[in-house]
Amino acid sequence: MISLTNTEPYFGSKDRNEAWVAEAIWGHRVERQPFSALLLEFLGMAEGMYREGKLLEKTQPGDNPTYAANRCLQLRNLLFNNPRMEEILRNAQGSDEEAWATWLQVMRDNASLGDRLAADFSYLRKRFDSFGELVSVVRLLRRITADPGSERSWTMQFLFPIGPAALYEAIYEKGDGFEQTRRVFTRTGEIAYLMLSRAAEPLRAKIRERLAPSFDPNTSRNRLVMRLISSSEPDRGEMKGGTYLPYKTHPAFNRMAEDVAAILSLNLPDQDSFQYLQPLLGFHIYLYGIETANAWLGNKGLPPMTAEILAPRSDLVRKAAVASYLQNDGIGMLAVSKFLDATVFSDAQLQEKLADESLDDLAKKEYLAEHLVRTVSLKKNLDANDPRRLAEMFYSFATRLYRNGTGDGLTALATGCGLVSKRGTNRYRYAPTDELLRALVFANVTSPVEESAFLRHLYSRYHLVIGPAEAKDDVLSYLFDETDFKKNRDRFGRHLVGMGLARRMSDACTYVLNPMESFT
Amino acid sequence: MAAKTRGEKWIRLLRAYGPVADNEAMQGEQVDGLARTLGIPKLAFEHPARKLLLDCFSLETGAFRNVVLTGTAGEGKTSLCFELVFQLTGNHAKGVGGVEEIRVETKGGPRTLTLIYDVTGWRKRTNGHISEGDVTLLERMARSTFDVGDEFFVLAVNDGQMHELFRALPPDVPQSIRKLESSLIDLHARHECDFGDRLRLVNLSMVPSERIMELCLAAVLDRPEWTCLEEESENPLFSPSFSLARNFRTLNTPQTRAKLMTLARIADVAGHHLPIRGVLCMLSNALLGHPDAKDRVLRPGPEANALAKTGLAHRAAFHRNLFGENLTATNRRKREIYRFLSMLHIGEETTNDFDELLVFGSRDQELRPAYDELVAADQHQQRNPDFDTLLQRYIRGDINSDDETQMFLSELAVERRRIFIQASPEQFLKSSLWKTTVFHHAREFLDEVVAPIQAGKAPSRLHMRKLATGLNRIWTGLLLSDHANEIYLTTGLDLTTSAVSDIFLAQLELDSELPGLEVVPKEAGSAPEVVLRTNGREFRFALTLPRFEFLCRVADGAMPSSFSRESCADFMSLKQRCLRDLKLRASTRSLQLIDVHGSGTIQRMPIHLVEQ
Repeated sequence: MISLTNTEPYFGSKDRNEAWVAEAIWGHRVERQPFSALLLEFLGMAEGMYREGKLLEKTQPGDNPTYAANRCLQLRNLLFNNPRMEEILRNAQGSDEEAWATWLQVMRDNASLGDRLAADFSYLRKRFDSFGELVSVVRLLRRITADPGSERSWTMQFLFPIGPAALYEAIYEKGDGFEQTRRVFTRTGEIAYLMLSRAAEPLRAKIRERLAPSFDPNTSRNRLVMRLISSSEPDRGEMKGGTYLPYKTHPAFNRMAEDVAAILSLNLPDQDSFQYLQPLLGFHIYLYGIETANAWLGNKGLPPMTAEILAPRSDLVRKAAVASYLQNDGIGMLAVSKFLDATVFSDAQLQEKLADESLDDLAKKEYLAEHLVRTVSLKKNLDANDPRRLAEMFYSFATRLYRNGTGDGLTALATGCGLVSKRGTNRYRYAPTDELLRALVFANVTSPVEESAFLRHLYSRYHLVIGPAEAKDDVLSYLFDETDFKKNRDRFGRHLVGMGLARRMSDACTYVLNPMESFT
Repeated sequence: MAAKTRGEKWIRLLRAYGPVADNEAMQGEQVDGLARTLGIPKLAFEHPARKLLLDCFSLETGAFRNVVLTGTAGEGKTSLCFELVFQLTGNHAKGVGGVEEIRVETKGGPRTLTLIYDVTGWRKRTNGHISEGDVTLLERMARSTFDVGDEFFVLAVNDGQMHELFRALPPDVPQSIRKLESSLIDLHARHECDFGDRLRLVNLSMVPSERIMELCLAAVLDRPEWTCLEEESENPLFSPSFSLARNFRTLNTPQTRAKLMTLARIADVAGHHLPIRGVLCMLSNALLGHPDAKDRVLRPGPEANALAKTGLAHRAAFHRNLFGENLTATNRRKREIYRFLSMLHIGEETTNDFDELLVFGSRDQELRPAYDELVAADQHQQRNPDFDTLLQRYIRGDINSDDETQMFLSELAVERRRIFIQASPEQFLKSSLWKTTVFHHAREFLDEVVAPIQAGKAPSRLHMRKLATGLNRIWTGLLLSDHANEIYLTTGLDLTTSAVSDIFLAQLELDSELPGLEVVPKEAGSAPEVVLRTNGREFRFALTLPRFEFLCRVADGAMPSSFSRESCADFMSLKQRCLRDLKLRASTRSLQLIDVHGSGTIQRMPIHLVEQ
């Protein structure tokens, strides 16, 4: 997977990166973002590609797939930069004319639409029978604000994706206009899109077919949004691209695509599938993250993840789950070191220079510093007197960058998707939420499957360790206790039964069921 | 010590069915052994699934089927196989090595039948997988199932063993065995019976619990050996003042028998199954349990004689033993039957009127007659004689410590359980005793919904409207009228399962020609089904007692998510399926928002989506 033939170098400029290390291992870029932004950014890119007729066309690491995302400035002003609307309606005391006039003036003075659109919302008068009707639509749409109560500025407030017009990019106000920002949409959603775009064609075709209806502009919900926008299509931003995913193929790509396709195949009404896609996207990028790190350490496949099904008190399963999380959290840093050993410090010419007795330490350090700029685009001037010190400083600089960047991003994904939590304790551990378990059942169960077979499946597919049969081989002996893991498995069964995802036949037999599979 | 009298022998046998340590592994064969040694016939009745099995082997036509006989341990699989051999051949089964092959002449020609009635005995393992010979046999069975031939098979297996068997198959087994595996798992998990006309799954767990309870009660109570209570009454074990005699007399009343039958019906409609072994265990323990006995169950001999002299028979009262109070928590927890009983929370819910009667009844002139009739009447001396003292301390405010408060509350719950068991049907109704359990609406469900539909009638309009009200409130998240005549199917702007779903999709009339909401019966032993109809389609879901209870509580004003998060999630998932299967979509011309008037009726407000 990590061989040179399976990767292609980044196509773009690395000028804005302090160094190109984690980016070369995991891509540009996996970073912490509000969890809801992951799905929105992913759908935004997919929608842009769909409009261009390129939805889930195969991509390569060396390509630069670009798209234009919606801006929907009128809509966003109406929903998130329009604080006086209700007050104006109240004060007009039934006079529609007065309400419209006051409100249109307020919007003319305060709305922020950049240089391409005028702050003129009078088109709405023709569309709504009364000002009150407009207010009720705005009120209705505000109810589906993503992360309500977040203190982000109005340009970084989003809607639940009820149609293509409800998908738009994060921007910030600059002067009289707007600029794209990668602060809320960090590119992680685009990484998710790129992962799917490198899955096998039959899977991509399946997803393409089933995702497309979500981008249909003629659904009732999208029409509702479009009533607030003056043009027949939403306004759009500049073309954007530059997201990099290093590998041509990776086991995570098909794995993610299979689960996404399975959820979309349930034919859930309207946008209900997004409810399950959201945690799964986060889950799969996290798996991609740790599997890639594991490969850099010379191991094959996913490292084991011992998962506690929330227990009333601490037992060995919890200890094993904490240990397993810490172990996997640590392999990212080791992967960074391995990567540096393999791609930076193994260079024959560098080694020759460093061994050259005719050069003094300063010259060697200078050479190494240049080498770092050449190989990993290091920008920072690390203040060292000799090459050994410089190397040490660089290792620690690179791991710190990883910690605050991709490492932190992976933690955010794992907690956001419900795989990792501190519930009931003060340390992170694998403790999947009921919502994630539901998404996993929906994605993996097509006909009734016996509980132990399902646990085996979760183990072989995701390396999730829940029951004693799986824990026996993968959990360190001092953390393994058959009784505790049996209790963990029992809790798993009880949770599924409680959620209507399993049917208990007797003490010896429980079936895991997908309640949505009865579709005809 | 060997039992001597006939009465003692009978108790020895009955005890073997109870929650004693060696019961875990006790198979039918071992009870047979004990019965033979004691010279007392074991508990016996015609198995309710016997006909279902024998029907698969018609000597008249020769139309045989392959049968997989499954269920939990102790359901009587082996006995049924032995009976089948006897019926078909007139000979007793040999029972060697867990497998037997018989040849049968039928009017359709000769048939060979292989019975595997003890999988663990039959199965041979090599390198962790079942042997080649066993695979060949399963392959023959698969061929017979999906093909033709005169060779047939009966496989009697616990549901857990069935999966173990398939798990132990070598990776390269023929496809036909895999097909057999998936067909069986599908039948089993979906509670179905037949695959084509050559394979039947007889799941003994599907026999209605009510029928099992009826048979077990008769098998235990209608035994001539009980004359020991009169004939051997000088034996302390059988003394009229000891717990055994009191418990037998309590159980052997029409009220108590009917009460246990009702509990079994509750199990059926709540989606629980009570296996034969579990029911026998419960009955045996209810009679013989004693918290002071060595393994918590009486054993004829010096220990029982000593216990009989202590005069503490109430500690082993029927209403305590029935719920396994005499057993250790671990022993109780590992038995499905006690898990079921504890899930009902009988006696654990407080109700104002009834508690007032229990606490103040003996001291209040007005309550006194009702108290004497319901509480003080205790024909078989089952009441804790110390309870009155405890009650007095409580009323006087003398109970100060947490421990004593806890003890008082737990004794109060025991007292409620006693009355729950002993009350006549009239008293039960009058005091609304279901309110002391988790299922406040169990009576309505059994009497006003299940009973009428089983008799081919519709449930009362009142209850249909209650169901509709509950559904409306859960599915819309709005406080709609509590006398609904229609069901509103709505969705949220973002998700179908939004807490507030106010986008109108369809309205189902309770009174239309083809009713929009109907409750229809399912086979005996199962909960009925709700049918919702609109858009030329229908959606069905099982109306189990927990679901009915949830709908009623919500209809009565409980907040769905605070009453039960689990039930709430269950109904949200049902709604998602319902809207999908009914193919309901919002119109692309307008969205209809609904709003609730003060009276709970709805107002629709259209939002137009196209230019005028």
